[in-house]
Amino acid sequence: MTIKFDNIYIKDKAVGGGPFIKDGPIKKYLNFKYEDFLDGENSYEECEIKELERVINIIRERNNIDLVISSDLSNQLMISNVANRRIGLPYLGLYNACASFCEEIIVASSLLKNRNIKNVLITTSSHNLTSERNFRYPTEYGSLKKDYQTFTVTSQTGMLLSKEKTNLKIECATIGRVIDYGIKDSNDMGSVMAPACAYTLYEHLKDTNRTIEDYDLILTGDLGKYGKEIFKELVLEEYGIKLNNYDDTACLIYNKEDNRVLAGGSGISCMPTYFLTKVIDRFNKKEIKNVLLLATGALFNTTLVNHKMAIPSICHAVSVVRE
Amino acid sequence: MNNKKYKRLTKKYLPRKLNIKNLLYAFVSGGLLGLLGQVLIKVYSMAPTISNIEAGNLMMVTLIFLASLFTGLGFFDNLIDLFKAGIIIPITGFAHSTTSSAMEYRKEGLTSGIGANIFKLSGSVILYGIVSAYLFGIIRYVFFGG
Amino acid sequence: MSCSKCGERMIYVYAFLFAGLVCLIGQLILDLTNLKAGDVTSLFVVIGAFLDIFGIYDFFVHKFGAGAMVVIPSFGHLLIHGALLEAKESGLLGLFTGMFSLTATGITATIIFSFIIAIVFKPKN
Repeated sequence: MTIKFDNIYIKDKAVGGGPFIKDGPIKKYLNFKYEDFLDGENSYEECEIKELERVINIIRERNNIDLVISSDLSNQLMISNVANRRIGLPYLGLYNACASFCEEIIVASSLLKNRNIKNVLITTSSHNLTSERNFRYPTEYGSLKKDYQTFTVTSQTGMLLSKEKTNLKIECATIGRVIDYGIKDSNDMGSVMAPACAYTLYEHLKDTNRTIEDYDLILTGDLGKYGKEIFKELVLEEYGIKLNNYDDTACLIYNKEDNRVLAGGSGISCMPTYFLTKVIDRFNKKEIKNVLLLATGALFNTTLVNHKMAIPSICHAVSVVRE
Repeated sequence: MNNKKYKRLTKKYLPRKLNIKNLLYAFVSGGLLGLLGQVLIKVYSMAPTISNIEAGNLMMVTLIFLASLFTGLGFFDNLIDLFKAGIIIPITGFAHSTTSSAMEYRKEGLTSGIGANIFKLSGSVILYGIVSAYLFGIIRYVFFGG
Repeated sequence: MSCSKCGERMIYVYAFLFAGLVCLIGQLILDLTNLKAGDVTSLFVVIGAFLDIFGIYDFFVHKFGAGAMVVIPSFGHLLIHGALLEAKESGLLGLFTGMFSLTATGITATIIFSFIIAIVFKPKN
């Protein structure tokens, strides 16, 4: 299902980065940095809430905000809920794992059709240790990570969408379906998410009557070093699409030489952190005219994994153009 | 594309599993812990009042204490990243998993935090140790007379 | 060098080799299968208990010393050994009574130290 939008533009943005992000390739674009995983708070969760609040406040100082749509990786969106309690604006929380960023854009752009809603702030937040604790193991536990695991990004992002004309337009979006190809390994996110990504890309190109060449840049969310190659071959073999101008934000968000980050970044904030920094910079420098964002999410929790069920995933696509 | 075919596709790109470096590190660090244990037994049994059995117990307590302490100090998980099974398979792994669970859930309170979660990772070792010791114990008692 | 000295020195080598070998096997299983660390340690404990049906682990402890005592199969061995010692005295009920007799030290130490460390230290990463 693909929907077109009429006058939805990116009005403002803010990105805060924690450990690994603040020293990585996009460090010069960050609005603020924090040195460690606690940033002076008593728990990782409180740190994440504080940084998310910070991002929202940066945008709030410069703009009116009618509605906030937030997503994060904590149980029942604890982080977003508490941060928004302190912010106090009308709020919608949603969750589609790492596909949330594109889902938020779709929901926000659709709500902006309403005359009474003029600005919608989309936020994402992820924190390496809150998600480690939530999905896997106690944080001091030496849990023997596999090389093909990805390393959750610690950053918070905010993007303000409105009907005021700017140079960056949200053009159209494709809503994905839940897909699984039988992968049960919760450490292998790349393999879990590639099928959904391939399907949504195919649907998007079919619905818009476009080809790969129509896009200057195609970005997938957090498939990782190995997931990226799996995706490339899958999309060629199953849908006959040969990828060009393609990259994966998981592989771009960290310093390549740092092997502590294993197969690359992941988390709800991985794609928006890269998009709102480097990609917007490339837009402003007129290096690219449009980009297709494919945010992929692995929809699992520990119960599903313990039940040995196949992990489903979803991918939503959003096309952004420079006017 | 069916699931089987997809699994084959993913296997093509996922990194090869056997890693000689891992095996070497595990062997050496495991061996060193065995050696350290033996040295500790020798040292403890030199004290006049301590028998061999007590020296053995003291050695276990020492290793458990060190594993717990290093977990608390924060660098033990980094050592485990390096030596992997070499630290996890000995008793140090058991102590580490219990300590790290206890540390993690401390902020959720004494009973619902530490109390409920301290055996989150090591519980299965205790459970299956006891169950199997009981079953095999019955077998040995019945067939071999104890 | 007299032979008894050789024997005494050799136990250090044997301790190193045995513990190293057990850990090596553990690492192989971790690398080649999808089993997690908890699965492997549980499996090893069961194997340790199993080997004592035939008294094999007793032999390991005698020959390899601390090498056999340090690794987790020794926990399974101590459980069944303690249970059987008590069963010898008091019959089948002894399997219940004696289960923790030899492992009490390890479990108690682990619980006490874990608790103290958890109270004193904060997770850092």
